[in-house]
Amino acid sequence: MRWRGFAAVAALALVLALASTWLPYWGAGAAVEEAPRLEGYVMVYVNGELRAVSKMRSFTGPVPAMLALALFPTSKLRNVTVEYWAGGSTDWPPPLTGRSRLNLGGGGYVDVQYVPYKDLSTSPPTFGLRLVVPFESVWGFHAGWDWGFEPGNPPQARLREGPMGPSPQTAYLYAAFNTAINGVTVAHLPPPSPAFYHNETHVLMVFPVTVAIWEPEGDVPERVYDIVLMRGTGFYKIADIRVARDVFDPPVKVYAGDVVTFVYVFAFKGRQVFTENWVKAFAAWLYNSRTFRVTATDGSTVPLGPRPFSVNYTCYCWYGTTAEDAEPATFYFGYYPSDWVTCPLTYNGKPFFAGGCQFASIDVYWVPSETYVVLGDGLATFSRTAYRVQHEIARVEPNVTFTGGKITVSAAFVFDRDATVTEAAVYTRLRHGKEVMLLYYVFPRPVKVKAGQPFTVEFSLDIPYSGGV
Amino acid sequence: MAGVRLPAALAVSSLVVAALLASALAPPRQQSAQPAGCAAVGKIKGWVTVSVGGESSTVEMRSFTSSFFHSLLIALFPSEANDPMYGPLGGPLDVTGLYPAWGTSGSGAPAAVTGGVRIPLTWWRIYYNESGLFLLVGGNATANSDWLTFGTKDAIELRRVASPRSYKSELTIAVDRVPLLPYSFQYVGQPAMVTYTFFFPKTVFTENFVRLLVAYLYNSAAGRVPVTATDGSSVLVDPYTPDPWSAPPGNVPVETYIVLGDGQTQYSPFAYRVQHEIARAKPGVLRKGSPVEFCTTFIALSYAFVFDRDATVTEAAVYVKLSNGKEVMLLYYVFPRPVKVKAGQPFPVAFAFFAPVTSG
Repeated sequence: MRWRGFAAVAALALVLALASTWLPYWGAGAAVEEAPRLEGYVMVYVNGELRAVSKMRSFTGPVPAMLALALFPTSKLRNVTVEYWAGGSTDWPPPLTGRSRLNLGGGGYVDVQYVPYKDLSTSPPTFGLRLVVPFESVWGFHAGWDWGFEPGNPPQARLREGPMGPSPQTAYLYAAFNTAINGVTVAHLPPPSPAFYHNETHVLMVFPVTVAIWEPEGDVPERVYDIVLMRGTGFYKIADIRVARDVFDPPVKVYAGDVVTFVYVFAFKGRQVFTENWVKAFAAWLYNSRTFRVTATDGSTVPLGPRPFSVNYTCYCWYGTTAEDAEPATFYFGYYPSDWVTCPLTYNGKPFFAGGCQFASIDVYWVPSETYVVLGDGLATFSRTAYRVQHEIARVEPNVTFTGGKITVSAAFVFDRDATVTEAAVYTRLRHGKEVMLLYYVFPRPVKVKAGQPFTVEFSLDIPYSGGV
Repeated sequence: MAGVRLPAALAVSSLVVAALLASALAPPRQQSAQPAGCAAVGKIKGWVTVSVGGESSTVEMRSFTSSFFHSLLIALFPSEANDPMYGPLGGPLDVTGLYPAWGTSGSGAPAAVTGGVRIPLTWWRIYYNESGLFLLVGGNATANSDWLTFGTKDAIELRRVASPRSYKSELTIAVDRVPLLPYSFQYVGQPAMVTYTFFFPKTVFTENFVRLLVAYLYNSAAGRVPVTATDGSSVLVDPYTPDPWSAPPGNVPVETYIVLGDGQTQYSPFAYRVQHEIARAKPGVLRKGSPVEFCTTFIALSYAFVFDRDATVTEAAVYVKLSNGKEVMLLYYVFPRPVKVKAGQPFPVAFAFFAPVTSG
């Protein structure tokens, strides 16, 4: 494949800007050495035939904030408020949909609390546990609970298998058919793990989503013109958030019984900067439902992504004969993955009525919690599989900002003695302590930096977006 | 008979992909696109025959339920890559109801139920002709007045044995209306028989798939069915568990792969492996239905392969790994011509199959 073809297309640009007031080889305020970028495409196959390719143009408004918070958290970037568009889900409880605002937290740790409640004003009466949460984590987990009782003797309150813990929510795909239907779901499924590929010029992340069109009988053509990529949240009531929306013009005609495969291709282009670790971290952010194996700076392989390390939970057993007189009587506390609690058959003369458990707190242990810009003076050459600078000489916590569609990771260094810089990188420290190099750049020539002179490094991620949700 | 929907031509050209990508600034074209991937599609058909007193009536099944697709997907194509929905016993869960997809302790059988009458489907047979594979599942009963009275207005349901850990002891697979002949009480006390006939067109389905479907329907000791593993050995699929609450089923699928090969081969319903494997991956599967109906009427497994070096693909398959570690090929597709795939080029592969439905 001639990926040179991508070069003419500017869909999503990751621009590395290295600037310095003291760059003997490049001069003050030095310019961009090269312009690595991310380009996204949606390819449509109908019954195995490639029918259309759409360049992705429309990552939505909350994406820069969510991406920065997830992958570049700092002591000053711990939470953000975003405006988003939430999709639908068949999950219970019914999710919130539509446009709203949300306070997101980073770093992977969130305390959630529930309080028992009973509402006799409804018919039938409802009772259970009500969520009290200050903010939601940008990394997904399902802060849910299950309510009911298990058949069997004795009764058991239990953590619901599957949806609890790390959320199965993932990158959902929505598309609309015909103008009369806006946002009809054609696929509500997790895509498979992406395939990764790299060569000298780019790194690829590719995954398909396959759907079938309408009923298997009939000859009514439909038009695929609008495809939306949703990122699962794992939140209590917000199933997923729209992260990209693309249009096929003209629409792709499909017929009843057709099997349509949408292939998402994310091409991180550039002879430098993007490492395998980066594309896997990006995948972890997009999927938000599982971990991806990356190489830590010590050479070990570690998971990156949402996965609970420790979970505290509380189980309640309710006693009574009806919902009206049922009361919570016994509280149990435990730790994941133990998921069974046996309730006494009776309590204070009342029979067991129902039981349930919820998570009290979850430590998502495998996600970024700190960010550093690291400089080195090693004899290095860029490699997609590089996992550390050759010889670190300095690091600082960067200033991470996002304005409009641009994420900027910048750091100012001042050396107390003359130094030579040959390499720059962005490291993230995961909550479990391991560090992972996400971005890497080797200077074409060593840069001599005088003591006391500020030396600024800036990585910026420029995401074209409309500002909409 | 239903045909198999296949790409018109499968001479994949990487240049097509590259050209389309390179021209992506221009509006995507609606030209008669060249194939650039693989979609192996099969359409399952079914008929239900009710015989009473020597007369019979047959209708084509048009109302498989969404629950059937959901549970069949979880049972036959579990995928840890998508969603590690495993219970404490390690068995895959049916996410539609969060109950185990496999395992009962008895020797139950699927049943046809109508008008309050239940007919256990106690026997099954597999046949093959040039069109494909046929599975017959049937049972006998004695017609009574309830059946003949209610049967004229009630649907006949095909139900699968489900785990006692589920919310229901049975899962309704299909609901059809069969004109019960001859609608007369004169046949009360006469032998009655219900037979379900399923058809699986060739070029996608294998006999192993049909046998797994039998195990799925019976889901008990009666569902112990031998299949041929990829190593050529005969292995028993075993849904039986001595205690559904504390013991896993004997031997059931636990993982799914899409496998590509470059061997010189041709399709056979009795094939049990690709001739020469060159790549495999855990596919994405339709895990969960959507609020709209058409998403619940098919099963699709897909993956987009990207090769490190140029490759030639001649065959594609879906393997499942059983609890005992053996692998079984369930779906198999042989390309009409070898497909050359360039390194770095996405090569999507999709297996999909339908069954007729009238509602979600």
